[in-house]
Formats: sequence, C-alpha cells, structure tokens
Amino acid sequence: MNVASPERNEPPRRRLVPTLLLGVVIAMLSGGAAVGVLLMVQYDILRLAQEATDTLLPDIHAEVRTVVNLERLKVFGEIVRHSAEPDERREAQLAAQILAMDVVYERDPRIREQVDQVYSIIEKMAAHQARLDAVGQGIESAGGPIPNDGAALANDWREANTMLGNLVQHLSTDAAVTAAEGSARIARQTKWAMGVVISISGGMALLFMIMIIFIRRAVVKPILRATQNLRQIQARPDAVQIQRERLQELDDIAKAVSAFGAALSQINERTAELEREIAERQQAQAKLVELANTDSLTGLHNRRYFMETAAQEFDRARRYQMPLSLLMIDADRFKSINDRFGHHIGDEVLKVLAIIGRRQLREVDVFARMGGEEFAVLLPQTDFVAARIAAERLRQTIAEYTIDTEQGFLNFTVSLGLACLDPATVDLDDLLRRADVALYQAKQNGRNRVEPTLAG
Amino acid sequence: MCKTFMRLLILGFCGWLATTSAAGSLRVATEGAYPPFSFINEEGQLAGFDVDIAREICRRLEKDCEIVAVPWNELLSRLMAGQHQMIVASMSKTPEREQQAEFTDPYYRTRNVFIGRRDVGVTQVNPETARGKTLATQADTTYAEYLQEKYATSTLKFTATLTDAFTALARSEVDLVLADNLSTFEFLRSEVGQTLDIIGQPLTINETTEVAHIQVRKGDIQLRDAVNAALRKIWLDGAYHRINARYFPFNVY
Repeated sequence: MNVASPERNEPPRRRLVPTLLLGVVIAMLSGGAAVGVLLMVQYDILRLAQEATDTLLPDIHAEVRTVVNLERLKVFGEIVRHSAEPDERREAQLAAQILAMDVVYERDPRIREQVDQVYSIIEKMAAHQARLDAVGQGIESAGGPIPNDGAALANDWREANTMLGNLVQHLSTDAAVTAAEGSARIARQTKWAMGVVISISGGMALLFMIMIIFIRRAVVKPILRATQNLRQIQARPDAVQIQRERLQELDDIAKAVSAFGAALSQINERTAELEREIAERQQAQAKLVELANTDSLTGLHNRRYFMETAAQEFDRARRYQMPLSLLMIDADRFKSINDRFGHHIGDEVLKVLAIIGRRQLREVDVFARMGGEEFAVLLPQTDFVAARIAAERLRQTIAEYTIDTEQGFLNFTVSLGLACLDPATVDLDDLLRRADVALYQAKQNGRNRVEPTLAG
Repeated sequence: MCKTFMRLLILGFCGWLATTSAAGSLRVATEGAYPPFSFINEEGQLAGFDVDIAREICRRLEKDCEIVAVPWNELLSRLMAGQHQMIVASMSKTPEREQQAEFTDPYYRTRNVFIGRRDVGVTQVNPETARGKTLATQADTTYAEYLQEKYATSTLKFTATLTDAFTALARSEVDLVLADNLSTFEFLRSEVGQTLDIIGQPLTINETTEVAHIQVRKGDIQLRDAVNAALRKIWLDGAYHRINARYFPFNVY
C-alpha cells in the first residue's frame, strides 16, 4: 500500500492542539480587548460623571450664587438710594461692601471690575444720603456746600443697574449651557458605550458560534466518523471508505482507521488462504496415509497397516483378557490360475476374495492383504468357535463363487489357518506363526479347508 | 470552602450590624461662641449657621446627632480623643490641622478684614500704619498666627472667643480687630457695633485661609465622603440657601 505518495501534494494540515489553543487565545485576546474597551468607555463615563459632580456642579453652583449676589447687590443699592432710615442704609451698604469683597473669588474679570464699579457708586450714594440727612437736620457740613451731584448719581445708578442686569443674564445662560453640555457629553458617551457593548457581545457570540461549529465539524464529526468506520471495519473491512479530515491528528486517526481496515482485510484474506491451504494439506496427507495403509489392487488394508492395528488389538485383548482370533488365508493353486488364465484373472481372483471377505466380515474385523495371494483377518472379541464358523463360511462362499472368464468359468478355493489368543501365546508374532503353521497344515491336508491350531 | 464562606457571611453580617448601630448617632462639635455661626440663643439653645448646617447634614446622613459646644482650642484634640466624630465650627484648613483631622469640601467662604472706630486714623491697615496700635483677635486661630507673624510692632491681644475681641473693641480697649467679614457683618449691624466700621481693604487672599470646612476624624474617609455628598445635596435642593437666608442677606458660598 502506497500511502506516502499522494500526501506529498497535499496542503499541510493544521494540528488539533495548536488550533484549539489558537482559538482559545483568540477568544481570550478578543475578550480581553473587549473588556479593555468596555473598561475604557466606562472609565470615561465615570470620569465625566465625576467631572460633573467635581467641576460642573460647583461651577453651576458658583454661577447661581453669583447671580443671586448680583441681584442682592442691586437691592442693597436700592435701599441705600431710597431708604430714609440711616440704620437700614448702613446695613445695606455693609452687605454691599462684603459682597464687593467676595467678588475677588470670581474668575471672570468683567464681573470683578463691574461689581467694583457698582459698589463705588453705592458708596457715593451712601455718602450723598448721609450729607442730605445732615442738611435735613440743620447741621452744616464741615466740608463746605453740598455738591449738587444727585442727578449724576441717579444716572450712574441706572447704568449700574443695566450693567448688573446684563451680567445676570449672561451668567444664567452660561450655567444652563454648561449643564446641558455636561449632560450631553455623558449621554453621548453612554450611547457610544452601549454601541460598544452591543457590538462586543455580538462579536463574542459570533466568535463562540464559529468555534463551536469548527469544533463540531473538524473534531467531533471526524471522531464519530472514525468510530463509525471502526465499527464498520469489524463487519466488512474491505467496504469502508475513509474521508480525509481537516486537522492533522484527526486525519491521522482517519488514516489509521483506514490502514487498520486495510490490514484487517489483508489478514482476513491471508487467514482464509491459510485455512484453505491447511485443508488441502490435510486432505493430501490423509490420502498419503490411506495410500500407505492400502493395498492398491484390492482396496484392502496392506500388511503394514495390518501389523500396526493387529499389535494394538493384541495388546488390548490381552490387557482386558478378551478373546482374539487370527485367520491366515491363502488362495489355492494361485500360480496355476495365473498361468492358465493370465495375470489379470489372477488379479480378479484376489479382488473377488477381497470383495467376499469384506462383505462377510464385520466392521471391527481387520482384513488385509499381506502380500501375493496371502490375506489375514484379525477378529477381535471372537473366540475359537465363532472364528471357526466365520472361517468356514468364508471358505464355503469363496468356493461357491464362479468367475466368468474368456476361457470359461473359473472356480477357486482358499485354505485358512486359524489361531486363537490363549494364555500360552507369547506375542503377536507367536500368534501369526501359529496361524501360518495352521495354514500350512491346511494346505498339507488337501486345501480348501480351515485348519485350526491345536492347543499347545 | 463552605466553612470559609459561612465564616465570611457571619463576619459580613457582624460588620453590617456594627455599621448600622454606629449609624444611629453622631456627636457633632461646634464652638458655641461665634455668632452668627454658633451661639447660645435667648432660650439657652445652641443656634447659628454652623449648627443649622450640622443638623441638615445629619438629617441627610440619617443619623441622630447630638450637637455640643466645645471651646475653640479643644475642638481638634477632643475629635482625636473620640469625644465627637465631626466638627462644624467655621474651621479653615492649615497643614497642622490637616494632620489631625479629615477635611471635607468647603461649606462657605469669607474675606478677612480689620474693623475699628471710624476715627482710628487709619485708612488701610498694614504693619506700618498699625505700629503702636493694639490689635486683637481670637487666640489659636489663623488670625492670631497671622498677626504674630506680621504685626510684631503692634500690641497684640488674643481673646478666648471672637466675641470677646469685639467686646474689647466696643469698649475701646483695643484699636483694631482682625476677623472674617461675616462675623464682622453680624457685629457691625448690632447695637454696639454702630460706631465701628470695616477699615480698609480686606487681606489679600491666601494671607490667611478664608474657606470654612467640616472636619471628621483622621482616616474616616467614609464619613468625609458622606458629608461631601450631603453638602452637595443640600446645595442642590435649596436647604443650604434657606439656612443661608436665615443669617445673611446674600449667599456666603
């Protein structure tokens, strides 16, 4: 599988953790910036409000005070000018004097100047009234004749009144304008702050949504896909289509899932292949074993198989003290049959012998061709009497069987030697030898007969 | 965690109890011998501009106030000793006083003037023209300090109260008295003050401090700020002007 080559042309993918960190940092930075801007704006509003109470309010207050005092100054002037009571005039003049002193606190030099002027007129009027009083009481003024300045003073006082009126007007408007400007500035700043708050919260919400969508699309969905794919791979490893992901780590996971699927599919294939191979080999081996244990002509067991099985049966029979019988069978005058009818008929004779024997004998009996025209049958769980009956029946069936050949009908016979397991039996070879001896005896005694081994 | 929280809660509750119980009453000191700012009236009660201002502020602070008359030279020491929590006594700011008490925003202002007989023979008082004259003012005040510093060539007499100085002037025991123009106004329009006048121009601003403040105990920022807020309130809602009108025919702030 060649994975590396297509990747070479791909754009580099972002990594998960740095990307998430970047997102968090951006969120934190923008949040911090937002808070900073908010704090700045709020600080501004606070500053303006503080300014309003610290400067604006005292300013307005001072203007109101000045206006009141200017109005009072006018009243004091009127009292000095018109009152007949010297005490009243004195008190009014004193009050005016104190107000005139107080004017030094005014920031506007015009007010200071004009109030000074007004007070000097009030002072003159007071002096004039005092002189008039003195005249009225018949006291001659020490300072000579009274200057006739009543008309001039009246004129001065009118001008002073106008001056004070203008000042009051000007100040009243000033205070209102200052107050309006202050509140307008605060209102403007507050509106701006509201705008900032709205846009910041909107921006934050948008950023948050983008982050959630990104995480959902680039992180959560790929993980779900990978899980889904893994589950699918378990069922059908070859049928899984892997989608490439945006983030490096998740793409790695997707690729790993894909590789896992491919590997799993390969392993499955290989396993199936191996299983097939093993089955084939087992079959071949079974065949080989069979071949090794089978006589090819008759399909019976061969000598090798017979000897192995017989040894086992012998041991078992001896261990459990069960009866065991052995028949050695030899086709009579087989050489002459071969000579007269040909080898293929000889083979036919052997096959017939095998077929009849297989048909008559039990499953448990071990029937084998020992070589040439000699056969052997091991009869487990069979005593002498039963074995002799079986042997006799076999001999008889074979003797009655006719083979149809081109050279006419052929009947053939077999001789059988019977040996049974008894306490005197030394081993399997001993039993085989005794059966052979019995077979020899059968041949000697005229063939086509069953010769048992005599005890001892 | 939970335990700490509970502890904080209990602590906060105790603190709240402490402040609310303390909020109940306040002892406010004034001089009681400084007409028209503080004096004992015909009924034997404390009265005056300072007393009314103190009552109004207490109302705004929602505290029960006991206003007591304390001799001028003991006002600050008794404040520091905790015998009262606030002073409303036409006190101006000096660096020494500021070390002993917390000063609020100013609540009125004056100019400082010399008064004397019209025939004292001086048109503008200065160390030169006052040479050889007897000058009087209240002891332990910024005026006393000023006179000691600048008028060493005159005879100086310091009285326990300003009223004493005015009385001495009326009796011709002294030639000139240095005082603020508002107390002076009150005195000059009284019967005994009829033959007296303001002599010359007021002192230059900053030669003596001419702005009156309220004092609270050093470090009691909370009370100071509350008093400032109350002052702003009474200026805005007209209460200050009603008090002002009771004592003066013009605005003193």
